Amino acid sequence: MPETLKAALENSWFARLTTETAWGFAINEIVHILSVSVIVAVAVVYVANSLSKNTISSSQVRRYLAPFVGTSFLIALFTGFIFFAAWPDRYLGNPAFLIKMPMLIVLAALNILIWRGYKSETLSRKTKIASWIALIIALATIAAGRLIAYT
Amino acid sequence: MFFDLLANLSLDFYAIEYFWFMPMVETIHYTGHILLFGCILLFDARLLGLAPKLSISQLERLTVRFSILGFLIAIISGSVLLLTALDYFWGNPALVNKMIFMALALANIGLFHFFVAPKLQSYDSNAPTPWFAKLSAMTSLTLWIAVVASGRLIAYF
Repeated sequence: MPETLKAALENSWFARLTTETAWGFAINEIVHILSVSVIVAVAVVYVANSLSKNTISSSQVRRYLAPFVGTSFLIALFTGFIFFAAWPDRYLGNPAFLIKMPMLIVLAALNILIWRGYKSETLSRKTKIASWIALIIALATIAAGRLIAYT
Repeated sequence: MFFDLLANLSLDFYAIEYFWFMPMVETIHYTGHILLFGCILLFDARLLGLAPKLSISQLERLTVRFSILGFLIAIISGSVLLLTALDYFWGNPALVNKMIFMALALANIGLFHFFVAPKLQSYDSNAPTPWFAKLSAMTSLTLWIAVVASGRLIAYF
């Protein structure tokens, strides 16, 4: 990573909030975990709904999940980025982080796929399989995220 | 005395001897909390008035059982974590807070089952949620956020 970019990230207000204040890091961590919880719960609802005999109609699922799907992802991404900005070198050399990032991209792509699948009133096989894969990847992302501290 | 009883069950040997023991249990504990909080948030959001056409009982089947699963995972893995470093955790102010918030959150679930759930059918879908159901959902969200937050703060003491 170019030194100027690294310096800009490390000196940004949000990075300094976590490195120079006592509670910035803790608050950022808590918000990160809470937003990750919502991402996982959305994946749980997709899977549970596709397994349920009494499936909720797609339009209702979309209306209900709409406030959560994008928002939780954006908050998790932003709070995660704050950690990255504070210690770019540490993260770029961290194997768990390097595994987590491609999984996140796949997870985001699957979420878009599932969201589109829910435009149709009957859930296709593709949407159901994508829901399962999204849940598994979301759980793997939690593990990778936790292991950043250990690798 | 309770401390001594727990100290006899100490799992610190595993934490010291196997490097991956702690991160593995921690990951399981996080997963439990994440399932618990995420699914509760989605259920409470409906009680707070989101998507009123959606049947509450139908949604309950999709979310609540997974939050119970998350709770069980968190309790078991949390107990294992406690036994790996009892001296460190015992009396930790953030852990004490976490236990208090958890007890209150569980009491709130008890109140929900006694006072809110029996009348649920009358506003299951296509009807505004009454104030006491909203209050219960707000209390639940606040307390579970407090549980997660104080859990995360244990490492700071």
